[in-house]
Amino acid sequence: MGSGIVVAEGLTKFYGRQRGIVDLSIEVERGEVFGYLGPNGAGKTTTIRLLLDFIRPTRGQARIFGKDVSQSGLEIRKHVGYVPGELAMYDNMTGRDFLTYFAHLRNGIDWKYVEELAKRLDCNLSQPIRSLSHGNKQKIALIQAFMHKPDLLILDEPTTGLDPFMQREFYHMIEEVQAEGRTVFLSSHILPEVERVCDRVGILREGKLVAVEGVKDLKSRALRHLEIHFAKPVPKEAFVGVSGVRDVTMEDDIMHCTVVGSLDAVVKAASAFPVDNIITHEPSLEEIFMSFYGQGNKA
Amino acid sequence: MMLNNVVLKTLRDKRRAMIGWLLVMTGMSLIYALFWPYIRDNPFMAQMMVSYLQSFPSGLIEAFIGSNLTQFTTRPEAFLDSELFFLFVPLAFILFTASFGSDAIAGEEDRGTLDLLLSNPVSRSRIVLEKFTALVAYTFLLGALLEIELVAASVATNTSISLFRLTDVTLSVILLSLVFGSMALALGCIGLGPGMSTGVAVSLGVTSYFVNALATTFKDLQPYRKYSPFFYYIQADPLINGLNIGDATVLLVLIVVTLSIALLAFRRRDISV
Repeated sequence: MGSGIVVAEGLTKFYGRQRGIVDLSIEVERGEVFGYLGPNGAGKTTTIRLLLDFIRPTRGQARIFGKDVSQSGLEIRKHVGYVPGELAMYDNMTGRDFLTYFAHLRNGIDWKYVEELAKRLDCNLSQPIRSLSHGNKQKIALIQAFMHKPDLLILDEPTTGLDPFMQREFYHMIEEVQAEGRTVFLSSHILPEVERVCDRVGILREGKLVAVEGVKDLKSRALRHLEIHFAKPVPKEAFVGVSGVRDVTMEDDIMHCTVVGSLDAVVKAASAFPVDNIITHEPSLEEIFMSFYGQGNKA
Repeated sequence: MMLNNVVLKTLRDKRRAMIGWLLVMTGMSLIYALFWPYIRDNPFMAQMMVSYLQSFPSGLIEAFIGSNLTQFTTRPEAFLDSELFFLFVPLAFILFTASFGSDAIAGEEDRGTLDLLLSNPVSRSRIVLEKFTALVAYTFLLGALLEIELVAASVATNTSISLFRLTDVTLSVILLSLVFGSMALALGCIGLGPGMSTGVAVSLGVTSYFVNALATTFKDLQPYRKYSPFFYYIQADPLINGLNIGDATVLLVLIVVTLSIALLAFRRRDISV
């Protein structure tokens, strides 16, 4: 078994006959921000709950900091921060009480740091949790995960409900964690988010890890829908055969196409005509899988 | 201060519910404070009441007020035994401990907060033990409240009753209810939901009550009586004869066994989302 901060080997979980994850092997290195990408129901949360020892594997094993998660869960969790995917907190408490309670369970933390995090995330700690919006609850969950400066952060869809401004602040927090040599395991179903903060990405589909890619490679193969609005109709032939461009269709003076990798060639080709607008659509994860692995290669 | 650990947090969560239970205990004491002097001071009424009760089949009487009919109009202890400690007090205590016990793990799991709690460096066993400690603390508090109110009612009605014997029967009811409380806790630890854990524990409590109460009339039930925790709670009549150490030990062993099952079951199983 490898020496990474998080190592899973042949990790398998079935709930009765229902598939959770199957033969998952993964290794996350120290100081890495590892993205765990997959559509809902692919098994991301199952993997995370196995890592935290909330559920026990049907087969295989996982190690964190070199220790078996089932044997040394207590020791491991001292140095792990966690944000759950399905967020449920003590609704009858205020954010401050909730964090105070968890700080005690961790045998005390630097409260100044909690205040600092709350300020950065613009989080009101005095309100009862039940009265908070989902995004504000998420901020409290983030604070409790970061507040003891853990060596490993395990975050299950951590930006759910955060507005774009707070998402950006969160990405800064992740960058700082990485700069301090700490490790992040971040699950997401949003490709741009993973591209933004991660070094490597594991792609999960229907319980199986179908690929582990560097984010640079992922970007070079990323697929985008492009829509260019011209001032007047242009010939379709101008774009057919341009590097990376597929599925070109013309609809009056609007050109639709799919682009793999860089937009450079198609933008240069378009510059020969008067352009009103360019719209790109991020592809769904399913479409990424199609482009990576083809329809026939359903994992 | 109330957030230092799982015990204190659990006590804090139940503060408001305890006010409701305090009212229940007050209601119990009021039955005593209002009815006992009336019966004591009206021998004619008391005799009518006894005759009336005696007109019922004996099984029915024993099912709900026990077999202390002859003394219950003349001795306050016998009155308390029949009217409160035979059915109402243990039933109220079991409802309290069973709902508390099932909420401890099953309730927290049902609300989805167990994941976050377990992500802290706190072992599953410690969580179960700390929640059980909170349950024991509040059950003793409830017992103390009841005893204080009953003593106050005695003083108010100019009745003399032994504080020691009252403590004995209160201890006995605490032990009995903790059997069903730790059973509800264990059912939650095994994986039953909060409603089912409470329901099963309370049903077993009610069943064991009837097995014990009816065994004196229905001889077929006689051999099963010793399997009923109620038998060990009341058969030695702690309010009159003091706490029977043997019986109390049986209840204590039952608590330890169910708590051990809770710890073992919870250590092994998957937590549901």
